[in-house]
Parts: sequence; structure tokens; C-alpha cells
Amino acid sequence: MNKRKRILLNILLWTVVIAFLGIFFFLEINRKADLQERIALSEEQLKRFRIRMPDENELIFKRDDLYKELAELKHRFYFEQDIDTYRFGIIIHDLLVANGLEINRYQTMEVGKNAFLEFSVRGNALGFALFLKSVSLSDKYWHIPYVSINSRSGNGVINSVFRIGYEKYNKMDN
Amino acid sequence: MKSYAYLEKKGGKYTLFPFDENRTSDSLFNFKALMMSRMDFDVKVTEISSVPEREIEGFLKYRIRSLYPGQPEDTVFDYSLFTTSKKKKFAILFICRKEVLDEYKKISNGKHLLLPFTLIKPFIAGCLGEAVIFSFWYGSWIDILVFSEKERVDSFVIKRAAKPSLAINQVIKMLPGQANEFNWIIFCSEQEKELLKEKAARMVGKNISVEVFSIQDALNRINRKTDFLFKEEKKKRLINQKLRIQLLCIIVLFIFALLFKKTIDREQRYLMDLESSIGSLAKHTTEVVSLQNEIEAMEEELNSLKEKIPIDTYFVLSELEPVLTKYTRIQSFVLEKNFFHLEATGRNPLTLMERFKEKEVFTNVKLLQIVPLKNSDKELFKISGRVDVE
Repeated sequence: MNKRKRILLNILLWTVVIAFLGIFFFLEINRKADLQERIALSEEQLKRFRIRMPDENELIFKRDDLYKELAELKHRFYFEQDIDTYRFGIIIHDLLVANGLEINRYQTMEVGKNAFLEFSVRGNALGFALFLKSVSLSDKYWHIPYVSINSRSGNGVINSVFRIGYEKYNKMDN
Repeated sequence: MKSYAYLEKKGGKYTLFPFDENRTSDSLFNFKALMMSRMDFDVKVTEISSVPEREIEGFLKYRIRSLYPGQPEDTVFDYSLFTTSKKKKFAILFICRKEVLDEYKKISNGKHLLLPFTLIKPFIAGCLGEAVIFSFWYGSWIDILVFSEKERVDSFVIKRAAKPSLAINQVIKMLPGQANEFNWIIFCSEQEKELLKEKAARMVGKNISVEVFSIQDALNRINRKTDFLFKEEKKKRLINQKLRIQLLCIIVLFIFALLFKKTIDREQRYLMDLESSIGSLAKHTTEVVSLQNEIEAMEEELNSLKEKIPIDTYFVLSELEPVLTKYTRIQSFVLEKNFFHLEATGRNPLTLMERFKEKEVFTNVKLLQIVPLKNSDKELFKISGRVDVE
């Protein structure tokens, strides 16, 4: 191989090497810039995640407490199939009688979607108080939206008119 | 200590001498290298600047035919390469008959062989770019190697005059006429060193720098890089120096490129770790968000149910009882949804209102009417208000 060929070969070799390294560095520098941008973004994202992240265990405890509270509360509401107005009327009737109250009149009435029983009773004030206590201590929520107590007679006898109903649990309403 | 030997031919027979002692060798004499007799070799210098390194040997074989009259099959040669300041490359050829070399090899018993020229490489490095003359002084002759300013290299042997001053004159006369300024390096025996140094310094002009070394000094500079002659396997460089430097540059560049790539790969791995962490955190966040949604739904349902909890009439009456005094008698009480209406008789209903204020259950309580009762210290009063039970 003569000198001229050798020089040309040398130039070719260096051209190839420089071109290869040039392309390599160009691509790698671009890659590095892209990586640094993504790293900065990811670090920022990670920081935000860590700041925002609430304590999962605390949330689990809270959920369990709520679940328990909700279960207890639901238990005090009637489900649709548990009762109807008439069966409820029997319970209240029996309770009034059991507390020595004389039922003058009672009727069912509907106010909006809710059905109530309206009783007109007469009897001892203590008996009526015990009846109200029984309503208050009932396992389920009984609702007295209206009560009128009249004790003008002055002999310890009261006349009362009240409406009573029961609270239903309806998931759809919630 | 390193020991070297040389041969002298006396009476047609070679005799081995150690360099450090003036006695002949015996079989126990152990030496590391053997300096051959200059007189057995023909020394030729040829320029090889344009010859590629791997073709040098072939070129020199071809060149010897015109430089040496002996039969090629009976001739052996070796060479040393020198490069001058202007990148001119020379080969100094050491040519001898094959039987002579065989004799040397037999005597040396496999030890290294060298000629005085083998010793000049460490000295020539300090004189690059200048004319330099090496002369080896032996008992009866002087061996001279000239690297001139004109980029010429010559080698010749002269018979030595008996007196040192005459011998110095002989050498000066042999030098090229145009050599104005040069370094003269003399190698001689230890005994002649001081004398030659003094005489030469006196006889040469100020433009000539003279240094004198004993052969032993030069031998002490022999090391593993020294290019001994007639080695069985001559070191051949597969790749010439220029190409080696270029390849080295390329390798360095590639190593640099690989290191650069490695740092970027490390960043890539770091990013992957980050993304993986974000992924797991995102998954965790999804779970937490789902938990939060569940809690929110439950809270909403709970609030909705709590709103449906009816007012406890018994509780309202129980709260009313401590508000009223023992002199108060309820005539009528009406509770409809959150509103109550009370009609009662009793003393001082105004103080009663103060007590209503203390009860949080009753709000917006108003005293509507007070009618004093005849023949009594009591009054009939009507009160209305709102019941707030949570």
C-alpha cells in the first residue's frame, strides 16, 4: 500500500470514527437532557405524592369506626319488609293500653310519603309519660311529629292527641 | 551486579574477557551479555524513512546485496533503527559472515549479544536536533558513528594512533567539513577516560561539546529495553507507531464515550427507580383515594341517617322539667316538628325565661302572653319556641 492510499485510509478511518462518535455523543447528550428533564419531573411528582399522601392506617381505622357507627344506626331504622302501618298500629295500641291510657280514637293518615297513626288518648299523666319513655327507649326510631297534651282538668288526667310513625331505612333515599 | 564480557581475537582464536577485570575468562565466569568485536562486522547505514515498518527487514535484505559483497547465504545481518529530529529514519546494519556469528553464539551460550552501537540509544536521546558523533576507543582502532546536521548518518573505523592527541586529531580530520557545532561523545576504557577528556577539551573548538564515558558507564545503562542483536526472535511490532498512537487515541475516545454512556445509563436506572416508586405510590394512592371515597360515602350516608333521627318527645319533656318550677303547672303542651307551644300557670314567668336561655335544646323561646290570675299570686303565660336536638 503506497503512502497516498495510507493517508486516504487514515482520513477514512478518522472520518468514520469522528462521525460515529459525533452521532453517538449527539444522541447521548439528547438522551441525557431528556432524562434530566424526566428525572426533575419525576422527583417533583414523587415529592407531591409524599406530601399529599394521608396515613392509610388512620383511614382504615376511621372507615371501620364509621362502618360500625353506620351499622348501629341502621339497626334503629325499619327495613321495608320489617313492618307495615297496621302492625305498627297494633304495637302502639298495645303500648298505650299497657300504660293505662284510654284510646278515644285512632286513625291512619298519610303525610307525603310517610304514613302515620293519629291517636287521641285520655289517661293518667304518668301513664302518658311512661308511654313516651317507651317510645324513646324503643329499639327502632319511632317518630312523633305532633303531640298535643292538655291537662286543664287539673285532676292529673290528661287528654292528648299525637301522631306517631316509624322511620324506614331506604338506601335509595340516601 | 551486572557483568558483561567482550571477545578479542588473538592468534586466530577468540578469547573471552570480563569488562570489569583484566583477566581472561574461565568456565565459572558468568556474564549477562557479550560485546562482539567490531572488527568482525561491517557496519552500514541506510535511510529507510519511506519504508513501512513491517517491510523494513525485506528492504534491508534487498539493500545488503548492494552494500555487502559476500554471498547472501553465508551472510547474516541485524539492524538498529534510529530516528533523527526531522523524522528521518535510519537503519544501522551489522553484517558479518554466518560462521562468525555461529562462533559468537557458541561462546555466548545463549546470552545476549551486542555491539558498541547498541549502547548509544540512551545517549542519543539527549542530542536530538543536533549533530552528534559517537566514537568508541579500542586498543588499536576507533569506531565512529556520525549523525550530522544534514541528516546524514555515517559509520567508519580508523586505525588508532599511539598517542591520544594524535588519535583525537585523526578523528577530527575524519569529520565532515561542514560540521561546525556538534556533540562528541567518546566511549573508552576507564583508564583512558580522564586523559581523553582533558586532551579532547583542549584540542577541539568552543563550538564542540565533548563528553567522555567509560564503556562500563554505557554498559550500566543496559536495561530490558535494550535492543540486543541477533536475537532468535526479533521483536516485531505488528502495528507501526503512528497507527498505534491513532489506535490509542481511538481507544481513549471510545473509553470516554463508554464512560459517558455509563453515566447516562446510571441516570436512566435512577429514572426507572423513580418511575417505579411513583408507580407503586400511584397504586397506593389509588387505594387510599378509594378508601377516602368509601369514607366520604359512609359519612354522607351517616349524616343523611342522622338527619332522619326523629325528635325524642320524652327527651324534650325531660329537658323542660328542670326549667319549670314546682309552682308551674302545664295547662297544655304542643310539639309539632321542631316547634313547641306551652301554656302554663306559675310564678314569675320572666325568671322562667332566663332558665330557658340556659338550655341549649330550646332556642328562639318567646314569652307570648302573661295574664295574672285573679285571687292568686300566679300568672297564666304562653311560651313558644324551637327545639334543636342533634
